[in-house]
Amino acid sequence: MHIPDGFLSPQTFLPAAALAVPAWMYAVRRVAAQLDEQTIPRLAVLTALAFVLTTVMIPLPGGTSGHLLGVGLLALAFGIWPAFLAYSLVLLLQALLFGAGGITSLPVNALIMGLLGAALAVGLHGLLRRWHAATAQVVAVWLSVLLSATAMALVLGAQPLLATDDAGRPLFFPFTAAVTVPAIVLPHLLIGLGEGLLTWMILRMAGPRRSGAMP
Amino acid sequence: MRWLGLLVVLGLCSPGVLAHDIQYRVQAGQALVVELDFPYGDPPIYESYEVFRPEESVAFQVGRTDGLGRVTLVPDRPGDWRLRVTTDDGHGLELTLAVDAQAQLEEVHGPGLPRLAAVLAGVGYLLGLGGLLLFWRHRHRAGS
Repeated sequence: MHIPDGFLSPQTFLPAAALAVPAWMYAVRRVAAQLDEQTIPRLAVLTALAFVLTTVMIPLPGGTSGHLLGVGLLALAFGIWPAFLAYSLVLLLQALLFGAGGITSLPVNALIMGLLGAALAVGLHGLLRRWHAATAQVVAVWLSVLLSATAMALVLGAQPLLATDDAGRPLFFPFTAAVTVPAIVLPHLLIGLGEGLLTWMILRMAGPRRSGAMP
Repeated sequence: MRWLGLLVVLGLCSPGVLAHDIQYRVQAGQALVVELDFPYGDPPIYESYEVFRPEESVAFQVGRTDGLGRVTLVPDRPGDWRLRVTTDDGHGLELTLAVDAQAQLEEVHGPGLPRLAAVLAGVGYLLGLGGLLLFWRHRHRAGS
C-alpha cells in the first residue's frame, strides 16, 4: 500500500516531512546507542526479509493485488524505533528500485506504515500477550496492518478535498475516502491475517534469540 | 394545414435540426499502445489514467484502461508525454513517453529495474549496510 509520487498534495507531504525528519533523527540516535554485534546481523537479515515480503504481490479478488508489509515482524523482533528506521530504508529502496512508493511520499509512507504500524504492533502485543503469547502476535500484527491501511486510505481519500483546480477537479489522487477505505482496508483484512501468521511462524523459528528487542 | 406539413418537413431537413448530433470520421493510423500488467501477470483493467501533453499540467486525455489493461494514445506534437495510471486502492504508475516530430516513440522513462534484479539489489544493499554497521560498531568498540 505504498503511496506513489504524484498522488499526494504538498499540503500533505510537506507537513509529513516536517514530522518524519525529526522522527528519523531520533530513531538513528536511539538505535545507534543500542545496536550491538549480535543485533545488527539479525536486524539486517530481517530487514532484507521484510523487503522481500513487500515485493511478493498477491492477487486479490476484484482484480487488484496486495503484498505483505513486514513491519510487524521488525517491530516485534526489535521494537518500535529500529523497526521504523529499518522499514523507512525498505520503503526508500522500494521507491528507488521498483518505483513502488516514492520520494515525496516517503515521509507519509514511513510515518504510517513504519512508525504507526510498528507502534500499533508493539502496543497491541503488549496488551494481549498475557492472554496468549502466540495469538497476541498474530492479532497485534493483523490489527496493526488493518489500522495502518485505514490511515493510508484516509490520507489518500483526503487528497480530492485538499487540492483541486479552478474547476474543482482533483489535482492529485482523484478518489475520495468512500472509495479508498473499502478498496484498501478490505484486502488488508486478509493480508494482515497472513502477515500475522507469518510473523508468528518466523518469530517462533527465531526462538529465544529474538530477546534483543529495543522498545 | 398542407402548408404546415410542408414547413415541418423543411424544418426536419434543415442542418439546424441536426446541430446536436456528433459527426464522425474514422481514420486508420498509428497510435502508441501502452500495455500494463500487475507483477503477477493480470492486466489492470478499467483503471483510471490521465495523459498529459509535453509541458502541460491539464490532462489532454483521461479515461480507463481497456479490457486488456491497455492505454492507447495518439500524440499530436513532439516532446515528453506523461501517462499516469491510478488504481482506487492507491497503486499507480507514471511513465514518460518521448515522442519525435513524426509522432514516433523515441524513449520511455519508467520506474525501476527488472523485478528480480531489483529484489536481489535491495537484499544486497540491506545486508551490505548491515555489514558496514557491524564493521563500524566493531571499530567503535575497539577504539573505546
